[in-house]
Amino acid sequence: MSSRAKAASAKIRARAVNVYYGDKQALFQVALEVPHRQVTALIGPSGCGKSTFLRCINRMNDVIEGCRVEGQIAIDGDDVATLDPVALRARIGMVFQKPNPFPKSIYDNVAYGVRIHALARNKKETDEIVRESLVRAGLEREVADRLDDSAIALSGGQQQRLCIARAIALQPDIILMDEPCSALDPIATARIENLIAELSQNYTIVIVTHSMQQAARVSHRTVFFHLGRVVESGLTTQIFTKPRRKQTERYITGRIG
Amino acid sequence: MLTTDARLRRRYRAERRYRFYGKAAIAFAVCFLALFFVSIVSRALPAFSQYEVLLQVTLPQSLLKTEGAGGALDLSEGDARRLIDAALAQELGGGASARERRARRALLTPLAALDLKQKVANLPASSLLSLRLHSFALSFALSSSSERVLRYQKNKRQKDKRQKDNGQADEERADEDAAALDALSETQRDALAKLESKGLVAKRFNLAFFTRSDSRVPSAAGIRGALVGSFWALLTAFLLAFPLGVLTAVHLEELAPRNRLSAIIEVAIYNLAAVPSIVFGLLGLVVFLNWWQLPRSAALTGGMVLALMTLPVIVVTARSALKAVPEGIRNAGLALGASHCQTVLHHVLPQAMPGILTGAIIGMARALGETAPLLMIGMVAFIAQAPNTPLDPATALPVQIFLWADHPDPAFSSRAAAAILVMLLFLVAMNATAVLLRQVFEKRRQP
Repeated sequence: MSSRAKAASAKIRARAVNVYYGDKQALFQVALEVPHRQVTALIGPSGCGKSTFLRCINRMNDVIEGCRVEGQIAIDGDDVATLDPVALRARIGMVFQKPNPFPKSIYDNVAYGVRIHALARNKKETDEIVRESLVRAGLEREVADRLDDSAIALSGGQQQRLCIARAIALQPDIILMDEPCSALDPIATARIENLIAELSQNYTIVIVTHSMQQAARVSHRTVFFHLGRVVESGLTTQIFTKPRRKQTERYITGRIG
Repeated sequence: MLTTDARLRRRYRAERRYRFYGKAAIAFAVCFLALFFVSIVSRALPAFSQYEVLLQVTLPQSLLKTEGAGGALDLSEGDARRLIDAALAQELGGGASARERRARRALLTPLAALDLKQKVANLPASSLLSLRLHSFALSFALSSSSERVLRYQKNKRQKDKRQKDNGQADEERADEDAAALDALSETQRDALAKLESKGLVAKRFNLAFFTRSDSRVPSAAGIRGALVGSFWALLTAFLLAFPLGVLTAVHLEELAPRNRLSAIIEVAIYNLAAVPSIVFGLLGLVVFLNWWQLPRSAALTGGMVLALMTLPVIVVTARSALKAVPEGIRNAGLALGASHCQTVLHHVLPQAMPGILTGAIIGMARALGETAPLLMIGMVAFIAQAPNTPLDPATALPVQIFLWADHPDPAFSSRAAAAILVMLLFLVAMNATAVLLRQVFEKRRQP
C-alpha cells in the first residue's frame, strides 16, 4: 500500500481554503493534497469540517444559503471555482451518509445520470452502462432479474451500493463518500469497504468517516481535521502508528471526539 | 411508602379522568353529527320521490284533422288544459263547473299542460296520420299541495296502525301535521282520494331532481343547473389556482433566496389563507366585474373568485409537501450533475405531488361549499337553464341550497335538504379521493 501511495501524483490540491456559513467560519486555511487513484480518509470529531471540505470539492456548498468559500481547490490543475458546477459534478461522484436512491426503479436510478448527460446514444448503450456500473458496484448479481423493481425495496446496504453504481455510471475520476457506512450494519459495511478497495484501482476516492478502524482498513492516506483545521495528514500507517502531533494521538486513542 | 402509593393512585385517577374527557368530547361530537344527518336525511327524503297520476289522454278527431296533416301537432296551452280536464273528468265523472275543473287541475303540477304539449309535439307524425294513436296514457306529476296531503295521509295510516298495535295515542303531533290537509280544499281531497282508490296514483323516484334545473314549481325544480354551474366554476378555479399555486410554492420553497422580500410574501400568503371568503367576493366584484367587465353571474367569474380564495391554501399545502421531501433526494440529483431545475422537476416535485394534490383537492372541496363570494358576483339569480359554457349565467350548488332554503313552500326546503345531501356526497367523495391518493403514494414510497 505504502509504495503505491508514494508513487502517486496529486489529483486534488487544496490551498488556503476558508469556508464561512454566514458569520461563522467552518474551515481555516485548509491545505491538503489527494493523490491520484488512492483512498484518502478524512477523520476528526463531529463538526470539525470534514464534510464541509468534501462538499467544497464538487461545489455542493453552492446550494447552501449563506455559505462562502475562499481559497483554491484544483482538480488536475483546474480551479473548481472556474468550472461549471453542473459539469464539475458530472465528473465527481458523491455518495452520502444516508442511502438516497430515487424512488424509482433500480434501472432508472442508474440510468438517470446517463440520460441527463446524454452519455449513451441509444437504449442498448444505456443498458450496457447500467449493467457495467452495477457489476462494478458489486450489485449486479443481486438485482439482475429485478431491474424494474423499486429501489426503495432494496436493503440499506444494497441501496448504498446502488448509489455508488449511480455515481460510477457517469464515469467520474473522483468519488466522494460522506460517511457511507454510518447507516449500515457490519456486514453491509464490510461489503462497501471491500468495494472501496476495488474501486481505488480506477478512481480517486475521498472518504469521510467516523470510524478509526474503517479509515485504517480502507485508506492509503489519512487527514485529521480538528475545529476546522487540518491538524495532520500523511500515510494511514504512519498516522495510526506514529502520529506526529499530540492532538492526533489523543483523537485516535479516543480521548477527544 | 404510603405517600408514594397515594400519589400514584392520584395520578391514575387523573389519567382516567382525562381519558373520560376525551371520550365524552368525541361522543358529544358524534351525537351532533348523527342529529345533523337524521334531520337532513329525513327532510331530504320527500324530494327524492315524486307522486304521479296516470291519466288517459284522448286527442279529439277535430284536432287531428285540422293540424295533424303535415308533421307534428302543436297544441295551444288552452287546448292542452282542456285535454287534461277531459282526462280528469273521465276518472272523476263529468259535468263539473269551470271552478271545479280548475280545482281538479290544481291537483296536478302547474307544468302539466306544458308537459302534455311537449309529449304531443314529440308524437311520431305517422301514428297521428293513421289515427290509430289518438288516445294514450301519460303520467302527470302531482302538485306540491297534493303531495303534502298524500304524505300526511300515508303517515297517518301508519301511525293509526301503530296505535292499534301499541294502544298508545299521539294526539299532539297529529294536530300539528293536520295543517297539511289545509293545502287542499274538501272537494280536491275527495278527488285525490278517488284517483288513489282507482290505483292511478304512484310514487316514483324523482329523476327530474337530477335532470332539471331550477324552477318556480317545486316538482320541476332540480339541481342539474347548479351542478353544472359548480362544475364549470370549480374547473376554472382548479385550472387557475393549481398551476399558479404550485409554481408559487416551488419558487418560494426551492428557488427564491431567503430574504426580506420572500419573508414578507410568505407572511402575506399565510394571512391570505385566513381572509374571510366574502372579502374575495368583494374583490371579484370590484376587479372582475366592474373593472375587467367580465360577465356577471357567470361560472367563469365565480371560478376566478374561488381560485383567488383557494390559491393561498394550495400554496401553503404545496410548500409543506415540498418541505417534506427528504434533503437526500435533492443532494442526489445535484451530485449527479442535474441542474437545480432538473432536480426540482425530476425528483422533488414528483415526490411532493401526492401531498400537493391532497391539498388541492381539499382546497377544491372548500371551494365547492363556498357561497358568500358567489353571492357577491351575482351567481344568486334565478336561472332555469343549465349553463352550456362557463360564460353563461349560472348558479352553484351551495347558492341553490341557499335560495331554496329561503323559500316558503316546504317542497322547496325539502329540495334544499336533498341538494345538501348531494353536495355532502361530493365533498365526501373528494376528501376520500385525497385520503386514498395519499395512501397509495405513501405505500409506493415505503413498501
